[in-house]
Amino acid sequence: MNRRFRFVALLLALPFLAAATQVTGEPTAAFRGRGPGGFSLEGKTHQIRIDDDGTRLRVVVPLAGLQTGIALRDRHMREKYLEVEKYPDAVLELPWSAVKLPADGQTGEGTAPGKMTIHGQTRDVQVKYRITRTGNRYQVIGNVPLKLTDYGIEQPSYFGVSVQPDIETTATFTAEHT
Amino acid sequence: MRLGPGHLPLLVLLLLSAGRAEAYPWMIQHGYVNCSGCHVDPSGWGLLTEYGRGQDQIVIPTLWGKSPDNIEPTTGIAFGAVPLPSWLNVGISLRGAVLSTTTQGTTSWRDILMIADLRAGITAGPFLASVTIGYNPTGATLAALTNQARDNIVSREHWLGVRLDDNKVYLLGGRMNLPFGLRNVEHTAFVRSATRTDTNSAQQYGGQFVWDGPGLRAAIMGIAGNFLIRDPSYREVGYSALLEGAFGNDFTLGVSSLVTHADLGMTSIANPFLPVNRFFNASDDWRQAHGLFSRWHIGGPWVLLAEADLMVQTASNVPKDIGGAGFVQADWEAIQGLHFIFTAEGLRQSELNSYGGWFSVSWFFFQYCEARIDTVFTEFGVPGGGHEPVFSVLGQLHFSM
Repeated sequence: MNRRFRFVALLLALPFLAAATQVTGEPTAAFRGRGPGGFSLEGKTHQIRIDDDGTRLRVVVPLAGLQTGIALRDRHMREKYLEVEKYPDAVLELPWSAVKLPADGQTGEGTAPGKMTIHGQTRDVQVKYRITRTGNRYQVIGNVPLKLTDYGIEQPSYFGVSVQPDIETTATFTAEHT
Repeated sequence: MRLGPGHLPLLVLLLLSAGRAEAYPWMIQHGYVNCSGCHVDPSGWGLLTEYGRGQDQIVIPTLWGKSPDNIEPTTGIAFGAVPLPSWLNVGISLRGAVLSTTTQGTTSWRDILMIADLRAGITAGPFLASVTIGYNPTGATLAALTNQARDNIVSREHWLGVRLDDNKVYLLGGRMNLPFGLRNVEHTAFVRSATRTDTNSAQQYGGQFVWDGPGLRAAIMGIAGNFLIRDPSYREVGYSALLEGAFGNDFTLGVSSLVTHADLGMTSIANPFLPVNRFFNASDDWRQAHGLFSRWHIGGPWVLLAEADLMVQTASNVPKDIGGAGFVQADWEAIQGLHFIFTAEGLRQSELNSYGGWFSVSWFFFQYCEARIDTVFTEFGVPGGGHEPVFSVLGQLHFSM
């Protein structure tokens, strides 16, 4: 009876465990690409979803909302390169065991191994992070350099200007973690 | 020739009416902190590259109901009717205007052909070149190939260059715009006219090194003189340089510096109410300008441009002049192609303070076509104290591709 009660209690608690990390405020996911000379472009979205099952942290970025400041370029990015209809999300998975959370009032930095899935392809990545803790609130900045062609994404090129395949991705958010 | 009060209306008209070219620092609104992607000149202005011709159709004009993500730009000219190879760049700029100027209780009207230039250039691998040739009935005499009192053939720029290291390093030689401050279209703004760094006709011959890298662009030009000035005594030699850092794709901050020397000083019309420019024909003329400039995409359709320059001029047997010029401009693109522009500017030169305010509406109402109205109110400092107000309205039609 006692064992059955514990099992039911665990089942009931699972949704709460899954919601152990929740984004507050406005998160930002961005990328920065470079072209010839000083040419650069930035894409940005404020849509980030965090899934936390207690052992892994999944940062999910819906790519349809990514904007670079020029609507036509956004459409080319969505349709020709990222193929957002087929592959709507970029997903970064991190094991909690690889993340060191700082003590209250402290800031911690580190590098953690993770897995990035974009364009339907998953690659091992190194995530640089910086976390500032205030109580159970965590301000997080994470960076992942990646190469578009590693994910089967064609090198973007338009009217003689090509974006280098190596880009920098960044996620910034504040989360409450219990 | 010494300028006198009788020349005042002519001077005011010249000051307010000379031709303009195209350079749009507000393109930072679209995340463009560097210029070389769109322009053959890596510091911006004028002739467009293949990529620039595409952007000219995508982000510049009003789209008249077309979805901005559904444009199909062409890389050819004449609305795509004339295809161009990717290494060849050709353009044309025609700008006509009507100017009304009110000063000292008199209003005068004038119609002006401000610019009528053909442009051509190449961007072939590491090699690049650019040349303009045009006709100007009254202005741009510093760029005149012919030597008439009016109706001159002008060439504002003609230069050759190479670019290296994935287009980060440029070496250019010929007649070029001076790398200094904002490359804004308002060439009569005090920061351009008083420092003589406008794109209308203030180009100089020389060699230029340009660094155009991620987050940083720099250019230094050794000035050998403007060889289109017939009398070599008035040609300036020296340098002009800028260094601009980009902090993200929304904000830049730069410094500029210019030092030139001429055997004899040239006249200047930054303030037309200055009856005698004491540096005109003064020997051993040294001119310096040093300043800061910034471009800031505040957010949405708002861009702020600012520049402040310290100016120092010395010559033999003439009191030193320490002055300056400032410029602040807010650009609000209410709908794509329609810009409302608010400008404030100031000048101190020859111990006289002048102030100006501009309200301008610039409408790129169709591909390659711009209509613009500038209303400019300026209080020019006058010798002996006080100010002389000048109100001008300039209406322009501009075709450029």
